[in-house]
Amino acid sequence: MTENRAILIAGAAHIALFAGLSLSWSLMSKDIAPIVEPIPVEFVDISDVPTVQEKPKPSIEAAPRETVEETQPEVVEPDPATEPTPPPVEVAPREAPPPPKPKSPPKKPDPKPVEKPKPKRDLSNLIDKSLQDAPRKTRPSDFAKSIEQAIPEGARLDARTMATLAQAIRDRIYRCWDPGAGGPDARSIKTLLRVRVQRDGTIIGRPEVLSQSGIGAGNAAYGRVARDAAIRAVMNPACSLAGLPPELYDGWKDFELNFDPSETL
Amino acid sequence: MKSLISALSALLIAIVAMPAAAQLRVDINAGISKPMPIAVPAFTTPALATTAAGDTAALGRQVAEVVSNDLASSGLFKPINPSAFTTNVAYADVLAPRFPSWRTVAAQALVTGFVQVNGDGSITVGCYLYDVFSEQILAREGFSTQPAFWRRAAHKCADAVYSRLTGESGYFDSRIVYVSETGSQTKRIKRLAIMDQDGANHRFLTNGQNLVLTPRFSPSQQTIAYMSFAQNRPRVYIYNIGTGQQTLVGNLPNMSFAPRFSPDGRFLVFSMAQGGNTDIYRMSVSGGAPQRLTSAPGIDTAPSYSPDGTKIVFESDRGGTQQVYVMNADGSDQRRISFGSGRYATPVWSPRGDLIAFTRMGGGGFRIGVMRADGSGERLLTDSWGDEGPTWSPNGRVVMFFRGQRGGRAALWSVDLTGVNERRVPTPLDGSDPAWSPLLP
Repeated sequence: MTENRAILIAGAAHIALFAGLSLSWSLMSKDIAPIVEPIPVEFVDISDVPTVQEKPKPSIEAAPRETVEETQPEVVEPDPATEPTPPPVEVAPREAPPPPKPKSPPKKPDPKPVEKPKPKRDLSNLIDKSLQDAPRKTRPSDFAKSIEQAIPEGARLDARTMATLAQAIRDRIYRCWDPGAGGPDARSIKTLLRVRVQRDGTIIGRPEVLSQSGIGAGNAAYGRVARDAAIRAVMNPACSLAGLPPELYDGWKDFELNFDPSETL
Repeated sequence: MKSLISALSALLIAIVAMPAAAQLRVDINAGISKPMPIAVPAFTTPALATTAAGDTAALGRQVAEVVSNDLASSGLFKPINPSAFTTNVAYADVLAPRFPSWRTVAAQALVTGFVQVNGDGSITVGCYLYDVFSEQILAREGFSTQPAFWRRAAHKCADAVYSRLTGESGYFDSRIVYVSETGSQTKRIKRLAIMDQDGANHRFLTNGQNLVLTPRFSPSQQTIAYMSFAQNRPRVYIYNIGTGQQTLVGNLPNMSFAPRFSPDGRFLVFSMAQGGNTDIYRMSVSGGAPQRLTSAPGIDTAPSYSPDGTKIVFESDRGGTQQVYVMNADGSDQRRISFGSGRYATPVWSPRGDLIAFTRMGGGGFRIGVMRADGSGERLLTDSWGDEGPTWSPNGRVVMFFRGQRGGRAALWSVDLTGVNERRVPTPLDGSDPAWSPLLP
């Protein structure tokens, strides 16, 4: 018994010694070959972009318009021929070589209700909480309800009613406004939007940016981000204005939203 | 009193009787910050083709995965699980996404793209960013590289998305050099290692024969300054990444350590012990005599330049305990900027210039903190037992450091400037002393 044990221990010790020597040999003996340096990644033109060099980004309005059609001979545009199913109408196949065709966003000819997201009912709902967060059916908070109930029927649009209405709208929108994680430079930027709404709460078109203040040479990139974040808050179906008092529609059919992040972070 | 009441009454009547304002104006002064839901479906390909790194369809999936992981790692985005997607993205959808289906999965932003092989064997990765609610394109970038470097194209795409949606510059296409550690506490083997910021493409630079410490990138990223105990003499060396060559810096007579490059890459600052005193010196990378910048009794070490090269922050125990000091780049106007309880070490100036990260020791632990360059606004980012050695991401939004454990183990971690989103940085072995590179070219 003890002899076997001694043999086992001796065997294990030999194996350990051999492994240790092998490891130290591999660590100590050979020089490490110099690593291959990455080849720089070059910026190249794609699709209808006149240039993708790092330069001031085009504004949203400027980005996808048709101004670059004739300036861009090389196109990397999706080839409808490779698409097994008929492509959507907006990307109707063109004869090759098609000029770069910037896709302007589909315009909404008539204001239609924003499509209600349909929560998926499968296991992925359990995995991805965002599915539960954003597309839920819009429901005004109790606070908003209490405000709206406080508005007397047939109320005239006096200052008090307007203030109450403003609070109701504020209570809807702020939940979808992410002021961002930018530093002090971003906090000084205020964005004023004009919003037009249908009776059912649907936003008509896109909110119009009336003005932005607090933008200087050092924080221009934040200005664009602030504008996008404000528009996103208004357009988010999770923060729809549906359910505001219809009898006061004149008061909220066309209003201004002033996003001020100075006290948010 | 009567007049006050009547004045208030008049004011109230005036308010109530005021005709309706021409237009309702609503002030939004509060919001909710949370990671933005973003969809990053697999990048498509105009024509399936084989490359040395796999076919373009597989590359498309991998590129999307890298982009998604980069964005998630920032803590500012929440990539939506692809299993929830309700639509397949075909090549035609890259330029004309079906926005309603992305709204269905609650995506606020969408990244699409493609991978194609060019005539010369290189690949082009196209990267498009859309706002799902307003159905607007926000950014588009194209990147051409050899297939083997597809990860860099993916990181550049993620940088473009991050930059457009946050207003900050990106940091994903960057690398980390650090000290890889293995072995028992008494026989620790320490090797220089380099990897992408997400832990990919890990490579060892030295073979572990000599103990190494404090590697630091040069601005060009072609060289790394570090301290090695080669020949049992701790001295500063420069490692050339391209050739693997290691060069002793100067023929300094004494122990030299804690090197760091100037922002223009022309100078090294480091500490050198001489006559019982340790001071900070500056020396041209091309050689020459070192210039002494400090002379106070005690240990002056861990120098780090401001990004404009005009100032140097360092630690010194000249006042009795380790504290953070700032001086002009020529050594003049040395002044203490840290005044909290405990001790401060390893200060590092942010690439943005506004903040200095440091290790704060006291209260039974080592923690990472930041303060403004004048010493004000100090706050701690971590709360652990052994956090040390901060290094900044190229955009100054993230701090990486190493977290020691009782027993000698150590690992790399990163934390957002807001003190949230603490993440372990994957390394094959233990890791310490990380240094973040600037953005790759």
